Amino acid sequence: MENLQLLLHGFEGALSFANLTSAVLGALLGTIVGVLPGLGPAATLALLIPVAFSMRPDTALIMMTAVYAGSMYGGSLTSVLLRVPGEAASVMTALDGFEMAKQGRAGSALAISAIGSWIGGVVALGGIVFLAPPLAEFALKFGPTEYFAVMLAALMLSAAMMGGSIVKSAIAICLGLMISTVGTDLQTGVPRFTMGVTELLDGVEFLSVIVGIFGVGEVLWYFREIRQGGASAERLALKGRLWPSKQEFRDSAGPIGRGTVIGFLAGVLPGAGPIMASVISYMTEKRLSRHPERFGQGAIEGVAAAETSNNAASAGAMIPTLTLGIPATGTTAVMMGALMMWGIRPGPMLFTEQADLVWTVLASMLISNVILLILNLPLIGMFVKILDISPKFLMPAIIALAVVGAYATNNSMIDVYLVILFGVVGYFMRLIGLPPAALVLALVLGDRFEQSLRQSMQLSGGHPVVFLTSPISAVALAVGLFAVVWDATKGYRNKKKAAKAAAHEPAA
Amino acid sequence: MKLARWIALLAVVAIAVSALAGCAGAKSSKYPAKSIELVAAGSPGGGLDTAARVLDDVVKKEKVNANFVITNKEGGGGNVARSYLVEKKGDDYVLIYESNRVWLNNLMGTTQYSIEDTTPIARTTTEFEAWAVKADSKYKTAQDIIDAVKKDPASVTFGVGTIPSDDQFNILRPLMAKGVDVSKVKLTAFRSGGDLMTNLLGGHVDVISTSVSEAAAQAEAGKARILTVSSDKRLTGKAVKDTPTWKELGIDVVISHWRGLFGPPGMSAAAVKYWDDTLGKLVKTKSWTDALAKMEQEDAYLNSAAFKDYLLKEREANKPIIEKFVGQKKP
Repeated sequence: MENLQLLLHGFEGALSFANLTSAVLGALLGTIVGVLPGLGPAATLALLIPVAFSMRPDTALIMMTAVYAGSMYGGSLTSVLLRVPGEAASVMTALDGFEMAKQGRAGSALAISAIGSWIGGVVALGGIVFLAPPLAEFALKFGPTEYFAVMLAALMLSAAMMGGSIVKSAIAICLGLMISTVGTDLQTGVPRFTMGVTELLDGVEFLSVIVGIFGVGEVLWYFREIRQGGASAERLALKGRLWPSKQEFRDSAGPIGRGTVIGFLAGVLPGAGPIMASVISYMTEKRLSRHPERFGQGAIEGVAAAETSNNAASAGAMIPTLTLGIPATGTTAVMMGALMMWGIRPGPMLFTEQADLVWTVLASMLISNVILLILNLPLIGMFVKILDISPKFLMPAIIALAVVGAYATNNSMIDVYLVILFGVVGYFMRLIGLPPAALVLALVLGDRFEQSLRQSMQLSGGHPVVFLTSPISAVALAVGLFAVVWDATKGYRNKKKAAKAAAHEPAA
Repeated sequence: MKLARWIALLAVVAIAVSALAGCAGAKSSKYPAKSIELVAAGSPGGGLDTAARVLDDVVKKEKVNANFVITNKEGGGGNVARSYLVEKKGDDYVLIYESNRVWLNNLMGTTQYSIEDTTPIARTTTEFEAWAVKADSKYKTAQDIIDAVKKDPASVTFGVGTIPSDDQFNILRPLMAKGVDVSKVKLTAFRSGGDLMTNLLGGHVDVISTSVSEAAAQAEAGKARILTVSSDKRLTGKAVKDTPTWKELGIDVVISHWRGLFGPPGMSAAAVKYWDDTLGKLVKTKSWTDALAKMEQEDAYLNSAAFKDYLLKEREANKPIIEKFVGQKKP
């Protein structure tokens, strides 16, 4: 295999002292950045550009990819420990991860997310080596019509699977979609629902909503529990083991395997990326599980699926970047911008013209994944110490982290107000049982969802039949529809069963 | 803390002394006496940010007596930076890197500020726009497309990055010049340049209007063909040296996607003169030419007076299009 040889050659380059050092530094920095909400990987890379400028292109790119990978690991830490996702892709991790932490299983949750991330990242990189060209062709088949159908299916699946009633999930999704319409409309350039606030012209910042609903909302909920005299004023400190049990490993094997494949494929699609990957694989696991009711209550399968797939997706996102010269995520876009500063033109010729550079970077991505695993596993013991802090100090600290993080995102107070506003929203959603993850998912996908619908309508001259004539779209819609119908009729089927059972019993 | 302050003070004194020494032979003008905040009206890593960093780099290489501190004020399509500039009225130590949004946003009604609320300093660089089709497209020339659209305005699908933008003007203006009813043309926006290119290569849209550099990368790989460029004269790049301009096709349209420097409103005449002198020399250096070649940008230097004149003309030329097709009244 010619690619394998090139990869081995790449390892030679990647293992030089300077490159290895920059991978370690990048991984460390990335982990720290991932932990802090607000300072995302794209912004960090941009801040690093002046530094990177003084390095050789390969060394600098290695550092950048290591930061990217590190931030993915770091994002899972705060999701599990504090229920504050460091970035959008960690939202699904928070669902079960924090529940596990509450049960004193934070160590297991973190270990599984590190191991899952590692497997997802490494296997997906292998996928790049062997499958890049055909997958890039596949990604091109996704036009607006296909995107719309896939996103609609994902939203329908979430409505059906988010737990609780389908109606409540649908309400949460609609709220998310409504918030996503705030900002300048892409197709007309006209501002919508900005209420004259300049900062809202770019739309509502996802991170503020996520940190508000999850982080601040959780703290408010905590106060309520304390007032009601619940036992929750106790520390969340680790109970029992730091390392997952044999049973937990066994439960996680399937989700990790499937999460890798789903994540990798979702990552290849520009724009869909890590968050779609984590949602789809979480839903898949819940659907396959014999105990779906455990999801959201601290199921290790949920953590494993979400974390594996979001990491696999960020590796998969390198495919369009490397083969077509088209950035799939904000982070890869910054990396490509940096390439130009060295006079290297990103584009379809990159793989052939700069083969050494590309393979060195790919090899070093493998290496940084290994570094991250080595770095993260021993540190888990230290990180879970955070939970030893008494809630009366920890909870205000979460608020402080949320507010500082929100401000840091755009250096604007608007985001701080949004965090507080959505903290309250998150509290009430919890009170009436609307799943917050459904809102966040809809918000993150919403803009693209709406635009793909309008793009495909414009391109087709307003004929909705395109959604059925495109095979990818037709299949996606069928899957989504089936899931909703199946779950909507579940209550009816159960009732029927119960009625049957009741018929055999004497009336009370 | 005290030590750090001392060191900082010493450094400032040292810089000031050397600056004075440097100007000793020159006139009495002491500008700039301190660091200048260079605001990129976009996010780190984006086009305006890169432009600011390149300028800073060249200024350092050429040992110009000016020290930039680059800050990013993204958000609100540049309106956040615009408000900031107005706040800094009369301050000679703030510059901002911006694009045609300086008048465009005002016409769109998203801000009350326009060219008059800035002090134009210099247009520095530009990119031109291109029409590109997929390599195996049935359209061989821009004329083919214009003919098809004339026959049936809905027969061709056009893609652009955002609306309103130079991408979009590069479709509307040539078609209007040829008498096409552009209100019936299928024109769709695809967020980023990346999305736009994916949709072209995937065959989801027939023609895209995008920056020449973006299109050239795909054209050189044989995946796309460039049909026209929006420059005044032919460009020199490998992928576009045989590509006709709109003028060659008998259409009097030139679209320049420029970037330029602006000061706050009411900047002093002395400061403006300093930049006219300094930048006028800087753009003739090899460091500048080299930096532009790397970034695939063309030199488009205009001094403060010429730039202001250009801006006013550009706004007038595009006003009718915006009023007609993007249509929103001023606030």
